[in-house]
Amino acid sequence: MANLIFDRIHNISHPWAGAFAELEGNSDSDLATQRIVCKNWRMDHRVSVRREKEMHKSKYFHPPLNGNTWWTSRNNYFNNELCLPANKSIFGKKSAYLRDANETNAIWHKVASSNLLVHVASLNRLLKRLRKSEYSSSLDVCRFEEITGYDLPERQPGENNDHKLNRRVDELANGLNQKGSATIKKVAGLLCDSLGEREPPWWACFANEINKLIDDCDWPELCRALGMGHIEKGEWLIVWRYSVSIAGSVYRPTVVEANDGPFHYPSPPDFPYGITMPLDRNLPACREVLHPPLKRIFAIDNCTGVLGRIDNQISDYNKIDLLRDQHKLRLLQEFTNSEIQTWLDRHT
Amino acid sequence: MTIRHPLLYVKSILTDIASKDDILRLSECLAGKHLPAIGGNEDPADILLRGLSFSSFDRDLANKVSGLLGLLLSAYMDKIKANGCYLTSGKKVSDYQPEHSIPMVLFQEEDFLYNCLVFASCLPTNKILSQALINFEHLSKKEKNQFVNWNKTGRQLRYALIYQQTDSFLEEFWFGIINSFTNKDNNVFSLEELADIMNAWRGLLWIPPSKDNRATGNVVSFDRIEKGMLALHKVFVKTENAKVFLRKAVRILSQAYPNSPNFWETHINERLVDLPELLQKVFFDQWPGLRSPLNIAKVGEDASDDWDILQLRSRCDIAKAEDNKVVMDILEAIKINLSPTINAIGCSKLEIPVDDTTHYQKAA
Repeated sequence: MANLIFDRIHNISHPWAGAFAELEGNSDSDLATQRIVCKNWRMDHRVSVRREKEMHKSKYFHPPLNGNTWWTSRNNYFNNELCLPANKSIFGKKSAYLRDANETNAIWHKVASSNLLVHVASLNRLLKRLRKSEYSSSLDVCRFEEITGYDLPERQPGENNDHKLNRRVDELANGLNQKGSATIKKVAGLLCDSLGEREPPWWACFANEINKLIDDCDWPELCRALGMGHIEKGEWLIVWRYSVSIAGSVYRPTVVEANDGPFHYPSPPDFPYGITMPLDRNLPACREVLHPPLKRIFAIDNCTGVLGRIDNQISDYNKIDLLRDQHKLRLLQEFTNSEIQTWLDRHT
Repeated sequence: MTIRHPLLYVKSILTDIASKDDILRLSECLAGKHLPAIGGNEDPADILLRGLSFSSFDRDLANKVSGLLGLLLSAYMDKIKANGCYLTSGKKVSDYQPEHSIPMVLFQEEDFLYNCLVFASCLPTNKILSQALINFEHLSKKEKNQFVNWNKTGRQLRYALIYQQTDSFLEEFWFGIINSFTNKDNNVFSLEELADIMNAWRGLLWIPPSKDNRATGNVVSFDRIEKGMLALHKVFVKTENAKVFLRKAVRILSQAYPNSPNFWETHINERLVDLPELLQKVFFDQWPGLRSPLNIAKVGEDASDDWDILQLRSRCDIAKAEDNKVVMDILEAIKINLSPTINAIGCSKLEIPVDDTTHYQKAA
């Protein structure tokens, strides 16, 4: 296993071999989530040779890399090569997952365009992001206040801003739910547009696998089914449901887009979609895809217009290994071809 | 093997850094090293800030880390000065002299500087940190294209400057930004321009009180607030959305100093009559209590209860009023609702013809 990267055998001279060995060799239990990310990068066959070469050529993975510098490079690559628009614009390049080097993961031609997708986001995190300086010139705060009747809390030093923001989002979300779906849709559009061209790609699952949880407003279970372990108690979810034709360029996700997500698990070889790792063994796994974020009228019209609060804890970091073992069994039960067993064995 | 909550682990890293004055490790953390995977694509500075606040905000730790960040950015600035080079000039690591233990490779990355600035924006104030940020501001003025992404890193520097002020050194800087938008040609403001103006306003509001004022509890500088609001009024007055923009400025003010409406009403009331009508309106919108002396309907409901307030405030208002409308409003209130009360308490001198406002001002 030690010499596999992207499910391909490499010799010791691979530019990342030392970095991976270092990160995996760190026995600090608190860094277990880093090791899981490494494990995923080793087993993810979805990153093609061509795409890997492109990554090596980028300035972010410039050798020599040790464990720490590779960890930083991964994040910088995500921020600067993936958080880009779907088309070449002022940045001169488009998001890395939409480039030719990743064409093996393009699946829009394989999915019926009438299929419905669901994207779930945390309202708290969207607002937190939008309060940063770089968005102060894209978020029309006066328009936000005009639509919602609330203003965003000022960011203040020397205190827990997340708690303050979350309290404010509680007020805002309750108020918006009372105002109704039309207002929430307007807010959804405003937020999506304000996030601009540097918004990360959207992860989405197929609606028919998750509709019941949305219709039942079972928000914590929705997060668990989608493997959104980073979402915390007290956050509010905002949901979009739309057809594949609106999503546009639909791709199979990879570990590169999963960035630092420890609740991700690569989907099996030859499977055209991603698969979520549910945070509860009793929940079914969902097929997932990646596509450019919805903007403008699409972000307004396709928002469900309901906000849901997470009232209990979603994940337990101590159970990640157990969840991964359960997920492996789930995959083996669902996919009976021998290729999957071999793939999993390679990475045990 | 038990895994602590990743943010608890981050807090322990910061505690360790603080106890050892480990600037190198702090710089590495701000570059994203040593941090656990938590998902959600958060910047290193945000992960560190969440760690600092995990369970409860540790102010002592935050103060200590703020000082270390000041030293880190000062060393960064020294290095830049010594080498006469800038962040985006494409210098190689070998161009730097190894005189400091902090590896300069980190400093070439604007992502790293951005994270330092995000962190600085949320930490308690520290003099060394404040000075380092001011030095960066001077540098960025000298080299206009210093930042690859001014919208991101340059604006974040402004944010950090706002919240790291330890004296009034930047007061003219903030006023300068606001005043630079006065007499704008088309009177239409882009979101970028609005952001710059409002950030400058925040800058004014976050100037700390002088030692003397702090000692006497005068934390809010009403002179500066009045001057700032007048400057903003001058900038926006000709725009279609002047009221919206000024209302936003007042809301920023109310959040910067989260005092009771009564506090604002007491302190602003005495200055209100000197302000342009539009500013009066936006203050009224924010603190409706300011209306009480002029609100005819309210006065009419329980005139005798309100009489004392009316007498005190309205006399003050009338004495200062240059705008006859203010006087007329008060006179109207008295004429319609209060004449019986006035007579009852023997203030007959207030019963004057409503068209003779000059006379009324003298009487008041």
